[in-house]
Formats: sequence, structure tokens, C-alpha cells
Amino acid sequence: MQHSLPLRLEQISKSFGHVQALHPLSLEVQPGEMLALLGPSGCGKTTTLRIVAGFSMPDTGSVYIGDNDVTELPPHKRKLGMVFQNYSLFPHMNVAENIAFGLQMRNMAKSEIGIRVAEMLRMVRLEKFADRSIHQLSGGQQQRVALARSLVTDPAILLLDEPLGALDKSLRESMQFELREIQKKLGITAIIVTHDQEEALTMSDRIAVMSMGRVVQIGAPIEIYQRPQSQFVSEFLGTANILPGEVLGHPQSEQAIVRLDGSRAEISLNSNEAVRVGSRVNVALRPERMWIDSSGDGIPARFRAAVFRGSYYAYELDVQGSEKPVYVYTNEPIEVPSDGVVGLGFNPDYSILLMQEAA
Amino acid sequence: MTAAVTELPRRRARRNYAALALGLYVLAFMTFLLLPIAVVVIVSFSSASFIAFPMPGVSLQWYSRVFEYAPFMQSLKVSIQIAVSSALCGAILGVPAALWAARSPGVAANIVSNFLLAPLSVPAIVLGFSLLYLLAAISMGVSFLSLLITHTVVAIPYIARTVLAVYRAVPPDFEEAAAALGANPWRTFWRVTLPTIRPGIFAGATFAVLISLDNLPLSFFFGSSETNTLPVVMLSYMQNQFDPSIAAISTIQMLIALVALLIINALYGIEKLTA
Amino acid sequence: MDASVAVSRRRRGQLHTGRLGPAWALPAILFLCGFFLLPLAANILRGLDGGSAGLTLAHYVRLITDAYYAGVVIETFKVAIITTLSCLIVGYPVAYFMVRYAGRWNSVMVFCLIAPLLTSIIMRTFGWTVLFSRKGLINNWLTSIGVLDRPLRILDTELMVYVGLVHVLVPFMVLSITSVLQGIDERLEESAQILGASPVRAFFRITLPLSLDGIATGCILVFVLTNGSFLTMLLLGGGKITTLSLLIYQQFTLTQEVAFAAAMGNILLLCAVVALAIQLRFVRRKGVKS
Repeated sequence: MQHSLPLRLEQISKSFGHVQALHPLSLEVQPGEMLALLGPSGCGKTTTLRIVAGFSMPDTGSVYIGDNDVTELPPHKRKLGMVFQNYSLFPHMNVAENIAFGLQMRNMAKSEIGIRVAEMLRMVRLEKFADRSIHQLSGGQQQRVALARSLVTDPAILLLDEPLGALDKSLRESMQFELREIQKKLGITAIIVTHDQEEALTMSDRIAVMSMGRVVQIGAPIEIYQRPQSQFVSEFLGTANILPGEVLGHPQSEQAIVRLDGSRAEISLNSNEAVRVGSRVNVALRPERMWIDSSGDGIPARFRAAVFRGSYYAYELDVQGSEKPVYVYTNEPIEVPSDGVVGLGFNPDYSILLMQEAA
Repeated sequence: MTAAVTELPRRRARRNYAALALGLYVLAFMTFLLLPIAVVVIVSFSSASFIAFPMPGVSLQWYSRVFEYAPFMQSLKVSIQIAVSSALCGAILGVPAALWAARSPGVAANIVSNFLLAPLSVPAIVLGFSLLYLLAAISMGVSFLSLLITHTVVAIPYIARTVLAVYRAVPPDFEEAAAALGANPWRTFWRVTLPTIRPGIFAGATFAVLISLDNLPLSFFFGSSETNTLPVVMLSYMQNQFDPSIAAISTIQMLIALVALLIINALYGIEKLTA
Repeated sequence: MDASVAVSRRRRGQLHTGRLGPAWALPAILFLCGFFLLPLAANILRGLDGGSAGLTLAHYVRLITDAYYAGVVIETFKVAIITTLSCLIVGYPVAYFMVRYAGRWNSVMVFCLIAPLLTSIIMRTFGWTVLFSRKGLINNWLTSIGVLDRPLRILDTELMVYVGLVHVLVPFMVLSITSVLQGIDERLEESAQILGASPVRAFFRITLPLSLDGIATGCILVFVLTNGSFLTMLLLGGGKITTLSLLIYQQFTLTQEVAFAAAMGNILLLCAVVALAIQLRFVRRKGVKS
């Protein structure tokens, strides 16, 4: 097994006609690291992946695999592995032939190919499926064949284009763990493109959140989740309640006093930006980090609805100052008084202060 | 951290020489396809009295000759009549049959749908020959009706083919939704099914008309002064006199077909069915 | 497909949803039986007609053993095979271009392919005559710019017949192939490339095998159509090529040997039936979407 190589993108940009799909972007993926490109459709994540793969030529910038500038190299010379969204297994070949294809392209000896294919089948737990036609496989099995096919050639870097999108929920969750395990075991550098934040959080060492052709934040999953730097990121990575307010004071550089609209309470919050007194801010709060007080202590709110979601209860409440309803997740059901008025509380350590974005 | 796009050195797009070569080949191919047709149209305006190059001048003399030459006009009329009426008969017979065969699950339906398409596989000259003798045996001989029957046999598969394809592509949910909304079977058929497959019917019918207009092998056996179709007359003219009249009448026929195609496409949108 | 799905399918058909019953197919079936099956069956008998001698195979024997007629039969196959292969070689690249590269020009190209069908085959053949006859366009031009001393005999040759046939039939081949190529996901070629296959290798290992159905359909179609064509040979061949169709046409106009002509027709019919049978058995799916 060869050592995994780092991947470096330098000032990659791409436009299609008048649309700037990617603004100049620079990125580095360490050897053995799994980086997730996360974002909504149209954010440029697939464009980036296709440039790395070689199917698309960037307008500016370079792609480096290890120390080599591969930008001018066609895809079949880049020695990459790729799993496509719908697996793209060759319909006229069976499982073993699909997996063997990459090795045949390297003109490997037949006997050697047989050994490597068997090894791969063992790794993805499909030993008995070598002769099966791919049409007889379930979605999960096809996905594993696609993975085996991409890894059998010992690629330096593995590219994954929404690999789990076609699977149903429970299968997706188990495959997330399995894929990650295989990637870690092989120590292969990998990039996964996904619009599913849970997938990115589960599988990656770092997440690059993308929007409209730019990377808006990059960091470890827990950092992105707990310390989003913009409303977009915080909303994309899970439900976020956004409560507007005004900065009243600034006792320390890391702290700000904020009064939330609709409440007379003044709250001291962690501030990681230099906010001026009088500026309008949004406080982002995760539903699972808030609580409801039946006696009304805290931010005034009116109960709207509650649903049971299996592992928790989700409460929908109206809070003055917030246009959208506020959500709170609890483990146990709350006693709501007959007039529906309750109080909301949260731990300021788990709140994020964001500047109100220009409309 | 990132520079503006305009400040960075731009890469030249990777030249795809293979695609370029292929494109040139396709261009040559299209020229090959259209060249003989273009040449004929041009020659039809020749002012020479025989086929000569380079053309001495432009004139409409051959068009007026065509209009004067009775067999051309008479056979053109017959051709159009036969084409349209055979397509009509083909539709009346073929559409219901195709509709049943398209969705019915049994083996019988499968056999029938192949049977409906079978005349396409038989060489027209064999069909024409055989039909002539059969019709003669039941003393129908050479007549407009015989010609009509012959062309209808060929029209049915063209119509059945497109209707089968279109109807099979329509999700059964359409009709079930109509039924759920209270439509009885007849209304469902008229208001839901028929409009959906209409482009298919007209595409097939148009094809049948075009083929019928050009069908010499079939019509050839039924030749008489009242029942000669245009291709038959054109062939004998070409073998006896070789002048640009052929070019003129061909151009007229092409224009009629083109106009008919454009009108039907505008009305019924058959463009989407290219197979 | 398990039993429960099959049951629900059957029940679906019994719902009154405006679907037609088999009675609606009856008129068409009767019409075709009477005016399609019956004449062909009668023709088969006619080919075995020995006049006063009753049924005989004499006509078929004559077709196979007589040197001239056997030659015509072989020539018919030869022409069909060469035309089919030529259409395949000429047409496949066009089909590939249309599906992979044409983009918005696709409908223009389809129109160009179908446009010749709007014209009479006589018109098209006439066009070739105008182009390639002794005093035609090409000869005149080549002579005037000094490339030729005397006009070339291009018309009335075997080559001209093939050019004419390919011109008429290649659109059928192209359209058969495009309809299958469209179903082949581009990502399959991309997968092959990522795995190390150059674009050429990816084409031969992936795209070509997957388009086999379209190739087969196109080839069978062109083969059958070539068998039935005779105008091209008649007008462009100058007697150099005689096929069964042409012979039937000539027999009918010149002689009155009905039974013999019928026998020739039956051989053509047999080819058509065999081709149809191959089509039905061999060509199962219409292309694969991944």
C-alpha cells in the first residue's frame, strides 16, 4: 500500500458562461485526512470535486497531488479513486469484473488481479458475490462494490460524490460508519462531497462549508457546529434558533451585554467579534441547548405545538422579536400552563453571537 | 486569502482534438446528406432545356411545364389522396389495437403488437406483388380502393409503432387518477388518454403519409391512368425523358411534405418523438 | 417481482379506468390477416406452383442452381451486408457526436437526418445523377479546373449504388444507435477514465459493448430495407448490380413468369422473417441507465 498523498488546491476558479461557479479557492487536505465539502446545491462543491478528478479544467489555479502539478493531466492519469453518486457500476460486467477493471487498465497479470479482487471483496464483506450480476445487488451492496472498485488500484486520493444519497436512512447511517472505518484503516486521503450535515459531521476530520462558490468556514466538525461564524453556517449545520437583539455594553473584549428583542433581560454572552455598542446582533441557539420553564422564568414565549420524535420531544414556540418559531428539544415532556405562556432559558456558553447580516 | 479572478493568470482550455475532428466529420456527413437534395432544388430553376452545368440562368419554365403535364398533376393528386386516406384508415384501425396491446399483460397482446408492426419488415415489392394477385383473385384488380388497401397495410405499423411507444411511456396513474375523480371509462379515454397520446398518433400518421407519398414498390403494381401515383409517373418520365421537370416536381413534392410536417408539428408537437 | 405485485397488477387491469378491451384490436387484426397474411401465404403457394404439374419446388431449385439466378441471390446478400457495414461505420461516429457533443444542435441534426425522408427517393437518386453523370456537376468542375482530361465514369458503377444506398439508409442506423446511446450514462465513461482507461479505451470497453443493442437494431433494419430496395440499383447502377428486388421488378414488367417471381419474393420474405426473429430474440433491452 502506498503512502497517501496530500492534496493542494491553489486559487482554483471556474465559471460556466456568465455564472461564476467557483471563486478563487485554495484548500489543503493532509495525507490520510477526510475532508467534507458541505453545502447546498449550487454551492460549487461538485465543481471542485470534478476539477480535482480532472473532468473539468479550472479557469485559474492549480491542483497538486503530493508535489506534482496535475492540473494539465487527464483523469485517467491521475491515479485517483472515485465513488459516484449512483455508483456507476458497469452494467455489462459482474461484480468481480467491475472491481478488476482498474487493475486491467494497469495491465496487471491475471493471477495477481484475482488475488487483489478477492482481497477487496473480503474488505467490503462481499466474498460470495464475485459472480453476481450487478443488477441483482441491493443499493448497499452496489455501494460497497463501487467502493471496492475505487480502492483496488491503491489510489493516492479517494473522491466521494454524495456516495450515500441513494440509500435509505438506516442503511445510510451504518454505511457512514463503515466507510469512515475503511478510510481510516487504509489511511487514504479523501474528499467527500455532501449536502447532508449529519454525514459531514459523522465522517470527516474537517468540514469546509461552501456557499455560492466560496468556502465560508473550514474546521473540525465540532468547531463548525459549536462556533459557526455566520448565520448561514449555523443554520446549515442543524436547526438554529435566531433571536435578534442589541448590544448594550462591552465590559470585556470577549464579552458583550445583549438585550434580546421582546425581553427586558440583559444577557452576558461570549463574543468572538469586536462588537460596538448599539449594533444589532443575532443570537444563535441550538434547540437541544435550551430549556423550557413552566413557571415562566426566562425569555417570554408562547407554546404553539409539540411533537414526539422518538428520542426527544420537539417544542415549537412563539417568541416576541423572532419572526420564525423557536424550537426547543427536551428529553422529557413539559407541563405547559393553560395560557401557553412559558419561559425559555439557555446556557450562554452554548450561544453564538452573530452580526446581523446585510439583507 | 483569495485573489480576485481577474488578477490571476488564466489557463487555456484543454483542446479536445478528438471532438474537433469528429465535429468536422459530422459536418461533412451532413453535407453528404443534403447535397443531392440541394442540387435538385437548384437545377429545378435552370433556364437550360436540359440538365447542364454550369446553369445558364434562372427560370421557372420547368415549374410551368410540370403544371401543364397532366400525368404529374393527376398523379400528385392521387398520391396525396392515397397518403391521407390510408393514414386515416391506418389510424382508425391501428390506434385502438395499439392502445389495447400496449398495456395488456398477456401473451396475446405481445403477439398482436408484434403483428401490428410486421408489415414493416416485409419488402414492399413482395407485399405489392402478393396483394395485386390476391385482389385480382377477388376481382378488385387495379383501382383506387385496391391502392388504398395496400397503403393502409403499410400505414398501420407506422402509426401503431409510435402509439405503442407513447402509450407505454404514460404512467397508468393518469387514468387511475381520472377514475378516482369520478370519470367513467369513456370519459377517461376521451379526456385523459387520447390527448396524451395525440402527438404519438400524429407523428405516426405523418410518417405514414410521408412514406406513402414516396412509396413506389407498392404502388407500382397498381398502375393505371387513374391510379398512378406520383413516384410511378416520375420513374417512367425519368426513364424516357431526362430533364429538369423531375427536379421541379420533386421540389414541389418536398415542399408539400415540409409544410405538412411543420404544420402538424406546430399543432401537435411531434418534434419530441424522434425515435 | 413477487406474487403480491403480480396480483395487484392483474387487479389494476380490471378496474374500469378507460382501458380498451381486446375487441378494439379485432378490426386491425382481421384487416391485416386478410390483406397481409393472406396474400403472403398465397404467394408462398404461388411460388410452389408448377402449373399443370401441381406443387413443385422447381422454381426454387432453378433459383439456386442456375448460375445467373444463384448469382443474383448471392449479390442480394452481398449488397445488403456491405451496405449494412458501411452504414454502421459511417453512422456510429455521427450518432456518438449527436449524443455526447451536440447539445443544442441535437434537434437540428435530427431534422437534417429526417429531412431526406421528406423527399422522394427518386429525387435523391436524381440528385446523384446530376452530380455524377458524364456531364454532371462534379465532372464539369473537375474538368474545368484541369484535374481531368475526360469526364470520369462515376455513375453506373457499383460504387455509386452503394453511395446511393448508404445515403438513403444511414439515417435509420444513426437514429437506432442514438436512442440506445442516450441511455448510457456519461458517468460510466467517467468511471472508466478515473480507473485508468484513456478515453479511447473507455469507449471500446464500456460504451461500445453497451450500445450493442442499438447497433443490432440498426443493422437488422438496414439489412431488411436494403433487401427491399431496387430503385437505387435501377437508376444508379446501370445494370452493374442486380438484386432479387430488381429482378422481381424486371420480371414483372418484362416477362409474365408469375410463379418464378413469386418464388424470388419468397426468398426475400424468408430473409425478412429471419431478421425479425433475430431482432425479437436477441435485442431485449433498450439500453441501460445506471
